[in-house]
Formats: sequence, structure tokens, C-alpha cells
Amino acid sequence: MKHWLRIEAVCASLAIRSRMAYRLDFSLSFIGMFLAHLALPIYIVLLYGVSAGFGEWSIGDMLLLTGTIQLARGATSMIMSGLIWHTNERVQQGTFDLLLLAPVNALGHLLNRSIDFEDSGLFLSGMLVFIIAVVISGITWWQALLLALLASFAIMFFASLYILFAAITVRYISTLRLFEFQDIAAQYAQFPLHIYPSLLATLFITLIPLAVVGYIPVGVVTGHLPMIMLGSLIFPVLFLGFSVWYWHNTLTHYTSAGG
Amino acid sequence: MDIITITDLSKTFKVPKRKEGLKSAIQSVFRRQYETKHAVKNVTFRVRSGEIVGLLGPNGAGKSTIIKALTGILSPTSGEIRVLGFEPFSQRKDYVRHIGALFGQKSQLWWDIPPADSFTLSQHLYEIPKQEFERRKNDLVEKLGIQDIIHKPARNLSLGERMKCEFVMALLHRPKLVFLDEPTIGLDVFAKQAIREFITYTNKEYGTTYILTTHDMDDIEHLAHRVIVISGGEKVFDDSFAALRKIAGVTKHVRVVTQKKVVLPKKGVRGVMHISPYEAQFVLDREILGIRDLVKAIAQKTEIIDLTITDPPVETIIAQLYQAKA
Ligand SMILES: Nc1ncnc2c1ncn2[C@@H]1O[C@H](COP(=O)(O)OP(=O)(O)O)[C@@H](O)[C@H]1O
Ligand SMILES: [Mg+2]
Repeated sequence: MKHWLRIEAVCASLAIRSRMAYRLDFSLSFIGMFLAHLALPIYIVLLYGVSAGFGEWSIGDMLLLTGTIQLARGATSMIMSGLIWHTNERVQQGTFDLLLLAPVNALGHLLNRSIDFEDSGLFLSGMLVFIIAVVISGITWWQALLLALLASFAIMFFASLYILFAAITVRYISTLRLFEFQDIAAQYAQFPLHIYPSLLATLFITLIPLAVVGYIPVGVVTGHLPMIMLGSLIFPVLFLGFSVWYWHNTLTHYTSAGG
Repeated sequence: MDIITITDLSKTFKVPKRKEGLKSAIQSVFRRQYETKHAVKNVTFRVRSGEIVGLLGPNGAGKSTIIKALTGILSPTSGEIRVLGFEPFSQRKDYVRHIGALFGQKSQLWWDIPPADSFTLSQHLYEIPKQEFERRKNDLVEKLGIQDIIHKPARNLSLGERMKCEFVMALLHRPKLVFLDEPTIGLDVFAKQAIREFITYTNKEYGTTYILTTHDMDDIEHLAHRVIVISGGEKVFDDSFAALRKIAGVTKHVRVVTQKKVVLPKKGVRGVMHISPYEAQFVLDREILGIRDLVKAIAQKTEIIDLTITDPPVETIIAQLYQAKA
């Protein structure tokens, strides 16, 4: 882990130096990303202000939901968002092979090499949205801390998606389109689970554990859901386990490209 | 001491079968048909510590596949590989620490920053102490004469300059064994020469063992202690360059342009093609007539304006190998 962190730091510094070659592009995309995500809570206040929320869930609760999701997505993006496009690029150029020459864990090194700072904007805005939500909803700082801790399960879920999609990219030389699923997942997670038909709701807790991303942590912390619902947090752990297994399985079947 | 033993290595790929026409295109969406491509077939050889071994063969022969299996990138379909006591694919993480690898068409360098910055990644990946790292880097950089080059962004370098930097990257951790896949591809003669000298130097100085693939006879002639010829995934020859020459002949392809009508000597020249009265193309058998004598003979009659001498393509050599076997 120490070795990995050191390499991460070296790659981060190299990535920044690479990026600095295109300074304007760097700062523009950073600001753009930041503003785009900051607009989310405003959107929610406007939308639910009109529609009077979702049953028991007040606007404050809805903001917490969005805040938690953005916090988790931002944190995940910090180290993982480059993963899919970087993998895609390497597979297409045939340089994925070179990664396997490094005397370290392949997935770990892929994470090292795909670090991309554009998404620090996403992380910052995620934090900001979360803090705004905490203030408006009026929960205590202890509750907020608990929520932030529970967000680590959401990070697990998003990380699993990245790993799964990176593996699919290696296996099927696929498209960057997969990346959009992550956005779609976040959008579905943005609503309280009780608005979905029960079959879908069950699916979102178990096989595709979207609910743990925001609904369950926020529901439990605000008292809308019983504590026992936290048991469902096992599913993102299983999901992560599955993605990592699938990644390793993909490497054993790796065929490189001709030439 | 053998550091590589490959026994009966085979590698097959499953490739989707493509037929023409709309109907079969639609069919293939639902039921893909695969065919098996035998990239490497029952290849067996050994390499001793300190050797420089050349894998020679035309495009698509299976050279890169062998290198990928040797470096732990690909799993063998069947057969056994032992390198430095490791099984490369299953013990990849521990194994690759001891080897170096360079792929002529794939870059290890970060594109937008100077190679000197990229090198620091190797320092940390292989946990080389700072002072030792600087010492090795300076040694390699000096030997290749690229002191200034390593401070320019990689994307501004010529192919030859970049390749020299790739060598530094591949050797910083002092691997005992280095794999080079087409290290001279696309390089001009000067860069080729510099890289060949560098390989010979590290081989002598540090005892580095090299396995290199090429379809350039010159690489083999100037570098390799031993040559393994690969054709259609199979090993068809494994001996010294001198032995290869004995079987495949010592021929050169020559093209000459002259001032007045060109007159060629009778001995040692065959397959003559007169492109014009002043230009001819032919095969020279160097065992019968040397290049010096050839030039002398032509120049006696008329002035030479242009002269190109090239090696016969690998395909010709392989054809001769098959002929000799039959
Ligand atoms: N990943 C792959 N998938 C399918 N076929 C491949 C793959 N890699 C190589 N091949 C095929 O195997 C044969 C040998 O390829 P390669 O080892 O790259 O040859 P060389 O390096 O000698 O040019 C070629 O016919 C090539 O098309
Ligand atoms: Mg090749």
C-alpha cells in the first residue's frame, strides 16, 4: 500500500506536468466541471420546491441524498475517473501490454497511470454540495459525519462500476459509452427508493445496489428507515468483490492485440 | 547456464470468422463463429545467460507472440516456459522485476513531458535508491549520447531519439534479461548503428542477455550470437549466423545506375533485370564475387552514378531454408 501510494504520487506529479503542457484546457475543464455539478442542488430546490418533495422526504432530505451521492462520486472520481478512457486508449493503441511489465498489481498500476486531475473539480463540488445539504437540512454534525462514513459504501459501489467497465473494455475492446452508465446509475440513485416498483426496488438493493449510494444511508440517518436497513450495505461489498474477481478473470483471458 | 527454456510452446487465438454480405453480418450478431488461429506451433529452444539471440521472421510469423509469452503478458495455450526460474504468466508480478522489455512500436514514455521525468517512475516502481538511480541514468544516457534530448518533451523527439530513451527506461532497473521486439523498426542507419553498439556494450559490460525480434538481416548479422528463424509459427532454424549464411547463401540485392551503358560481370551475378540501358537490378552472390570487385568491374567500363545494396528479404531466406531441407 505504501509502495502504491508513492507510485500514485509520482504519477500524479507526472500527470500534472503533462497537463500543464495544455494549461488553458486544464483550467477550463476544471472550472466547467465544478460549475456543472454545483448547479445540481439549485436544480433540486427549484424542482422539488414546485412539486413539494417525495412523500415523507422533504427538500432537505432530497438535498442530503444528492449531497451524499455527489460526495461519493467525487471521491471515487478523484482516483478512478480516468480508468475507463485510459484503459480504452491503451487497449486501442496496444499499450495495455506495457502495463503488465510493471512489477506491481495490474489494477493498482492501471489506477496509478490513469490518474486525472480534471475530476478534483467533481470532488470539490461534491463536498460543497454535501455541506450545503447538511446546513439546509438541519441535521446535526454527528449525523453528517455518520453519513460521510456511510458514503464509503457508495464509493465502493461506484468503484466497482469503474472496475467492471474497465474489464469489459479490455475483454471486448469496447466503447467509451460504458462510462455513461455511471451517470445513469447516479441519476437513478438520486430518488428515494419507494418511488420505484417493488421489483426494481429489490434489484436496486441487491444485484445492482444503487440504493446504498444515498437512499439507505440518508434514510437511516434521518430516521425515515429502520437501522436494520444498514444490513443491505453488504451488497456493495459483494459487488466490489465480484468486479475485482471479474477483472482478474479478464486478465487470465487477455489476448493482447496482433502485431 | 540456461536462463530460458521453452518446451513445445503453442499459442492459439480464437478469431471471429467474418463472411461477406449483409445476411451473414446479421447472423454474426446472434451467433458468432470463431476460427482458431495458430500463431505459435510447438516451439522449443533454450537460451544461455549472456547470449544475444535473434528471432528472425517475416511479418505475422509469430515472433511478437513468443515475446509476449516470454514476458508474461500472454498465457501459453500449451507447452512450458521457464525463465530465470519463473513461470512468466502465473508468476508475472515477481517475475517482471527481473526482466526488461522494449516494444519498438509501443512507447513507455509519457508523451507530453521530457523522458527524464518519465524515468523517475521507474525509480519508484523498482524501488531504486536515489543515488544509485542517478548513477545508472547518467551512465546509460551518456553511453547513448542523449544528455540534451532527455529534457525535451517526448513528443518532440525523432523516432531514433525516442527509441534511445526507451532503452534507458527499459534498463534502469538493471535487468539480467532483456526482450526487444523490433527495436530497430523504422530507424535510419545511424540510429540503428547507435542502438546496436549500445546493445553490444551492455551485453559485454553487464552480461545482459538479449532476445530480440527483427526482420532485418543486418540486425542479426551485427548483433546476434545465434539466430532462430520463425516462419508460420514454427521454428525452422536455430544456429549461428554463419551457419545460416552457409545454407541460405550470401546474397545481396543490387541496383546500379551508370553514366553510359551498364556492363555487368558474368561471374557471381544472377537474376539480372535491365530497367534501362543505364540501370540494372540483380542478385549478387558474395561467395563468388565480393562487393569491392563488383564495383571495380562496373566502374572500369563506365562511371557509377548510384548504387544501392540491400539484403534479400527474410521471405527469400526462408524459402532457401525450406529448399535446403528438401
Ligand atoms: N491477439 C491476437 N488475436 C488474434 N490473432 C493474433 C493476435 N496476436 C497475433 N495474432 C496472429 O498471430 C500471428 C502471429 O502474430 P505475431 O506474433 O504478432 O507475428 P510477428 O510478430 O512475427 O509479426 C499473426 O497471424 C497474427 O495475426
Ligand atoms: Mg511483431
